Amino acid sequence: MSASPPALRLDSITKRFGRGERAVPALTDVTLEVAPGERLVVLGATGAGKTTLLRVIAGLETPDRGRIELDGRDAAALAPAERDVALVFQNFSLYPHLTVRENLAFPLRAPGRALAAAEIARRVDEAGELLRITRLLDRPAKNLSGGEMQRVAIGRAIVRRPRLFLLDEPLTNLDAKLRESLRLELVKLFRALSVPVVYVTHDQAEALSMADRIVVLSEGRVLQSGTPREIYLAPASPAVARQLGQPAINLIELERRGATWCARDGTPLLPIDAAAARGVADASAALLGVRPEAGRIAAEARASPLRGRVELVEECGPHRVVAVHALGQTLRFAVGNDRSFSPGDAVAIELPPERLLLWPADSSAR
Amino acid sequence: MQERGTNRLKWAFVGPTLLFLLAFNLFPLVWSIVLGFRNGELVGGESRFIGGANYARVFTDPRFAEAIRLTARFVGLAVLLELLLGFTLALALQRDWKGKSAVLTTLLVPMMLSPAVVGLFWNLILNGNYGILNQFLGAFGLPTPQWTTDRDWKFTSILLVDLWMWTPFMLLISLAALNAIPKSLYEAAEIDRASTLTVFRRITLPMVAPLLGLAVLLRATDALKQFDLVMAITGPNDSKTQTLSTLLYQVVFRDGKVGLGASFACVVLVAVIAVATLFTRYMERLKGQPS
Amino acid sequence: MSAHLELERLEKTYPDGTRAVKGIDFAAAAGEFIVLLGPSGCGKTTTLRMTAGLELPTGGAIRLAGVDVSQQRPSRRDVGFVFQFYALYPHLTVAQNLAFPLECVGTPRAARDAAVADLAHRLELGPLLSRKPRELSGGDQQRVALGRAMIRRPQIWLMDEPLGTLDADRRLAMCEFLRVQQLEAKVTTLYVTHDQEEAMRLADRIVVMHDGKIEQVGAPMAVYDEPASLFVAHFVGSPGMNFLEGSLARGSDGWRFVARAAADRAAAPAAALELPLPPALARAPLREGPATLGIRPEFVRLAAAGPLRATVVLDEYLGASRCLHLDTPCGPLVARVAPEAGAAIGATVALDFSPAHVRLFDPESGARLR
Repeated sequence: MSASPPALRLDSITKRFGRGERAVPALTDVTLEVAPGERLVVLGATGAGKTTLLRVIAGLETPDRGRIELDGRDAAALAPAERDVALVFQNFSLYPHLTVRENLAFPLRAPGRALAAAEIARRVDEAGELLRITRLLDRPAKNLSGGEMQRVAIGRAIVRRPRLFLLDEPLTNLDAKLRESLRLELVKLFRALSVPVVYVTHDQAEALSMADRIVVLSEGRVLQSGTPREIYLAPASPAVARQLGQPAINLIELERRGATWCARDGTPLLPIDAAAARGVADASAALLGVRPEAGRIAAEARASPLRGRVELVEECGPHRVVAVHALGQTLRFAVGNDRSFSPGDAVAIELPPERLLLWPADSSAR
Repeated sequence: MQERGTNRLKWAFVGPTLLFLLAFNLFPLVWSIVLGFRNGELVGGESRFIGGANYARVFTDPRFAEAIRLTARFVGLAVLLELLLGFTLALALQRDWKGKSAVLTTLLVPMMLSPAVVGLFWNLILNGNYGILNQFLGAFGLPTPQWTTDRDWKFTSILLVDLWMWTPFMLLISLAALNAIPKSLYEAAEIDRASTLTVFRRITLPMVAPLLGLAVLLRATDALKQFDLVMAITGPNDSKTQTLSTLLYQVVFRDGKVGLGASFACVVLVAVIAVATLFTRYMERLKGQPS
Repeated sequence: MSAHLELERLEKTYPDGTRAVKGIDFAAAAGEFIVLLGPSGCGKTTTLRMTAGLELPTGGAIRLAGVDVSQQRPSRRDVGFVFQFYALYPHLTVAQNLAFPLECVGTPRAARDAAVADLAHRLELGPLLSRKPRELSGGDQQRVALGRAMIRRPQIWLMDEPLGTLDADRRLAMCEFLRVQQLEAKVTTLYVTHDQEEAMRLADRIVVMHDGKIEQVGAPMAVYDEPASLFVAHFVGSPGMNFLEGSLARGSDGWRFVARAAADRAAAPAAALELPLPPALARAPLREGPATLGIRPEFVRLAAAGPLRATVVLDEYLGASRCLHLDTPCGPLVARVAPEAGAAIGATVALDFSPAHVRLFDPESGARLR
């Protein structure tokens, strides 16, 4: 064989809950692939179908339609236990009365695995070291902090050496600071293990920083998939663009006036022949996307026809987010923390054409 | 494929119970409906179909009307008093104190006893001449009525025994309901400057109502069947304490009129279902679920 | 402006001996937005609950508008509280939840209805008024909880991680919403969170707490730029400040920082980094001896030539920027760089940092050297 098959392939997976008229679609025509050793992050809001997707992969739900392949083989007939995937939940789900060591060893003692005691001990120690929880091994799980619990939960997945890791928002219940450091540790860990991972989250920072590839899921459908860079820089639709970036992307409705795209109030914003405008060359209305870091604002009077008034300034450490009232809406821009603005300031806004995104107007719903 | 497998498994689990229910619940039900239209007797020959004659008798015989009135009074008073007593006690016992769990466990004892046994030993306690209660009351110079034979006291006696038996049940359910109210709601109410009375009226009561409603329903359906205590304390044919169940017993097993008893049972069943339906409607509304 | 809320030597020791709060001192001016920031277990929530009266302090005083309220019941303090898990009354509709605080103080029906209508308009809750809390999304429930805390126009708002249970993207929008409401109402606000980003965005001043004590009180940028301790420098910022262990030495040309090789590379060639300190820093009453150097990731620059060589270990793309995790002879470092400025994992780069952004700390006490 020339290339190894994908570790996971989903082909047109559809899953509905309930029957007949009242059926609620949870997943519709979801197709995706995870290459061996690849980290795939599924990004979506609460209720987008992320958890259902993981449960379908794990075999806990049976899809209504579609095909699941694990390492190139049809997995439909495989029970959850036979799929050899590990699932890590948001709420840790450890056995509280068992020690960390017993928790880690638990999946290895499952019937049909029949590992020697020495092998179990070796794997538990190894996982303990990898996750830096060696000193916790003999404590009862209920005495651990949140971050420690999630490490143990991940350790319990590691010891099994599954062919695929599934993680369901594993960092959501942790403190922000802990989330940040564990995020890093997880990436290091997955790189070291080179096991394929499907990681589900609603946090765009987690998705961007952890993923080899991102799949953006909304209302059970895949909106776009690609590398973090592709999705951030070239979102296929406003819906995708809104999911990534913090603060969220600014969206401005445009209409064509002669040789220029103008805002609704007639302010000229972009020449028709600009590179960004090619995709919508034949439309009469469009939606403009401006990342907060892409726009420039200045207090002094510049030649820009777009002006506004500062509403709110929020500190973000290395940068500030300035909310500006302009074009009848609020636009947000990120500026370096060496530049100061105060509410009420009049500012000129510059939108560099090469950093703008443009979609046909009717795509806003997608 | 997998779907069908799980379906078969489901039936394998449910099947035996279903068969059991059919044999011991559905069949007797259907059979009593049939009996209600026949003139069967406990001893004696072939019964035959007599149409609605039994039902006509049920609706005209004052004995039946009296039993329904008496049972209604019993259920109403018993459930109401148990609810009030149990809930009040629960409010008092709500806070944690030493030995609380031990006391609560002892309170469970009356419920775990067989009602027939309870009836028998209360019969001894309440005995007008040598019962321990009257000895106790007499020692303090208090009146010592003939609890089980005096026509004015019989009903009260049975009611008191029922209270003794079932108030702890209401207490435990009330405690569970009170404990299920998140502490943060009380904190929120305190911040909102609610008075103790407002907290009770607007937070505590509505929050415990659904569970207490359920307890009342359970207790009411149970009290409707009141039989054992009456049998043990006053017997089945005492006009002052004749509940539906004891009357039924009297009609079928003492008078031997199986057909009449069956038709009476059917009337009672319809009434009970009606009451239960009203209750579940009320519960749904309490939960405020848009249906 | 005089202090509106004052906490003085506030302490809380639980009956089991746990000292949750070990003497807290700070004052909030009228209309100020104060954020209590710290990791779980640092005493921030206990401090907030004591301010509300939901817990009583075991020492110190709480003064609200000059009146000592330390031992008063919550209902006497005139505070609005937003709970972490909303604590809406589940059996009441949104309108009834909002009206409840007014109902409790005996506001007539008509005035109640008017206040609810007005608030619903401001918080965009109009279409939800007749719903029950469980029929609402998390963000909507939180807005109702906020409305309930606002409606009686209490003297202060107290908020206990109100955005903790929301999706990340909703959280940001709610942050802004909250701040706008607070600026409009000009109500003194005490807000608890473990999320430094939330704290930075919302606060007029941040109170950084650690282990029951205050580490620093200051405006967001002051806390970020001039952290008072190693803890603050690490906790504030995402990622936190980089630290290099080393020592201060005085040379003929002024003060220098000499970084020590990381513990696990004792065998590697020593004296990896020597950094002259700028005059501004060198003016401080410095002493020769061990010191910790701190530098924010955005001031670690990839340079053609620099005093420190590093290997790229991990590359975190964040859309608007990129964090390179680097391994240097002096320990790990993070550099925040422009998103285009990629560097392959495993590549070797030279690092430079501008002395003006260097901060020095005492490695023993963690205190800032200045």
